[in-house]
Amino acid sequence: MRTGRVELEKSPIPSDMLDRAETLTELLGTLARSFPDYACLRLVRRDFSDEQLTVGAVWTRAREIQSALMRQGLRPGGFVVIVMPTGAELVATYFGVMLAGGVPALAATPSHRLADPLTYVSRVGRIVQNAEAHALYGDNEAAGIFRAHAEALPSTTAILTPADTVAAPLAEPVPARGDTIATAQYSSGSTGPPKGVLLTHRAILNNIRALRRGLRLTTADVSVNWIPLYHDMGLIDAFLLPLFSGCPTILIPTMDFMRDPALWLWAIHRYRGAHAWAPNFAYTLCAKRIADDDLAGLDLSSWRLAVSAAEPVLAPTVHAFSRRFAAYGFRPEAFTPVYGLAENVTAATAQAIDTPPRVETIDRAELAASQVARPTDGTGIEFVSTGRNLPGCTIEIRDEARRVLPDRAVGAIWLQTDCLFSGYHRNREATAASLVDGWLNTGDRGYLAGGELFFVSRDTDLINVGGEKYTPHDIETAINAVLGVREGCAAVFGVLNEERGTEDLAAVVETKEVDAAALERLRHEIQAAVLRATGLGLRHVLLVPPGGVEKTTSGKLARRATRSRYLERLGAEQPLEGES
Amino acid sequence: MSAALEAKLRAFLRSELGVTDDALRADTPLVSSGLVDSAGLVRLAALLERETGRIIPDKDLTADHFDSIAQILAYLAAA
Repeated sequence: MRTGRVELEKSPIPSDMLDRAETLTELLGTLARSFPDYACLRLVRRDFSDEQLTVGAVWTRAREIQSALMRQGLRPGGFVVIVMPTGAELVATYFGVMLAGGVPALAATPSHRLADPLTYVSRVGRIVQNAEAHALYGDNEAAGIFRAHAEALPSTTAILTPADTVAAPLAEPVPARGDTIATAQYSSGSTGPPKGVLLTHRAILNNIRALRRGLRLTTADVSVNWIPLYHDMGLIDAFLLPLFSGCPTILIPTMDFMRDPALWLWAIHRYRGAHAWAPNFAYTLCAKRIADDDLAGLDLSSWRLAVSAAEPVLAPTVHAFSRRFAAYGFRPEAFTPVYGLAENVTAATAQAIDTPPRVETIDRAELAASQVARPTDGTGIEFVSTGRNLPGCTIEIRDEARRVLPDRAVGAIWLQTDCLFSGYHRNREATAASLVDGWLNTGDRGYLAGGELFFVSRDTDLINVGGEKYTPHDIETAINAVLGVREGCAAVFGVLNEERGTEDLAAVVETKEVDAAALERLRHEIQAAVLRATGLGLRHVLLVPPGGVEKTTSGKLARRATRSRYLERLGAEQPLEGES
Repeated sequence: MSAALEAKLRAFLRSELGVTDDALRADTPLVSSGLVDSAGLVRLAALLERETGRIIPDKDLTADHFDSIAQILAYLAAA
């Protein structure tokens, strides 16, 4: 039933249209005038129902939203925080805000049902507050949750739904230039409020142009993705990149993929997909968690670029995925690890498109002792190359004094590109730490070898679960509120789970409690508190006596030292028995 | 609730978690303990939909209904 194929209309979009464009809105307007009936976007759901969206329809609805928002007082430079699932309204709203001269900022949808709604609304509230948003714009479901927990939102921000932006008399769009801020991409900071990464039209277009050239995308390359658009990889790589490169663009709502991961592969089969992006965990999920029965007749031979981004690319995942899907026509050279971050719009490097990923085994002892990545024939740590710099990008590895390090020395990854962000919204201190003399200090550590970049670790304590970043401080705050926990003595960090292809949460928590039954209760209360706060399960909890959590000499939590101290115990832990 | 359904549910959890059946009690916390992640939970719901022929709305996918085998079976029985 799933083995059917659909031939897609060939894109009429000339390839030089993107080269000449100054702004995203001008590009959309040109497309809408020249090819109003071209179905630029298809939304494919679990039942394979397929909704087609023409450029003309996106433009018409975007103009309506723009006009309504302007009437409601949105001023140029004003922010609108958008919370909607992947769909026609989200796409139109994103451009509508931009056409009104506003700055769209997409925030996570309330699909993490496991988290407490109030905690979710508070998190969106912190974005709204940092953005000083004109409006919080959601679908009916999101707006309902926001209204039910309005106390967690700034009272000055209007909550709007699509019903509030219909039938307005059309107003002229506010003209934009290349250096106008087009989008704010909110990301977690290690501490403090979320950081709004400000991106100009030019930065976004330059990143898209670099990717189109680097990946040699043509208008024949069908793009098939399910990443939510509030994620930078979703918005830029799964949506704007194919849309403006003239690639037929298929989007699967994220929840439909989560319920049925094989849908992604079947959509690639059905539409002869060539180009798809996903974090490492999704490749692991497909390699390990889809039954053979669900893959009978699958043909992935059209898949030219299986891009892996947004979380570390793991060698076992690359091997497992390539091995399993070889029988379905998947070619190992299609696997394309990239390195990128929101501060560079998205990708800065990419694996060469005609070669399989390069995996190096590095001598663990030498890496730890001298911070040099020396390949070994024996056992060691495997690192996957994220390839070479994309056009317009220069990479340097630097030491703490910002001196450039030689090949194979591990240090801070610095980038100079033509698509850097303009700063964090209303956060000069963080901006000054990241943007230095025209270079971006990525906060990541890695090494270069023969021009290829290898990611080693993050410089921050952020935890990356399936491409979404979590702030340990938020999770520790939830744990500290549990009775029986020594206040301020909980350390949370990520522990790699190769079976899942991503990180699990782990916590080391001090308590004075010694009774075994009480410890077991405490452990469950801590797990429940973390679930409410994040929607994530806390896989590892180590309850330790006072003094068990590492601190710096000034009394600050030392998460990495705590992690090193207990990593062996966590690794040895039996998944269901736990320990107290 | 049928024993066949419980068997399917346990088979899914065994392969998802890589554990033996005797380690999975009816009240073993699945979600809050981090054993089943959010991706695992939605696939579990998809399995239950296939097996029972009913739709489990996204809004019901919470730890209140899905944190243990006993809760899941009670949820399906109540509907």
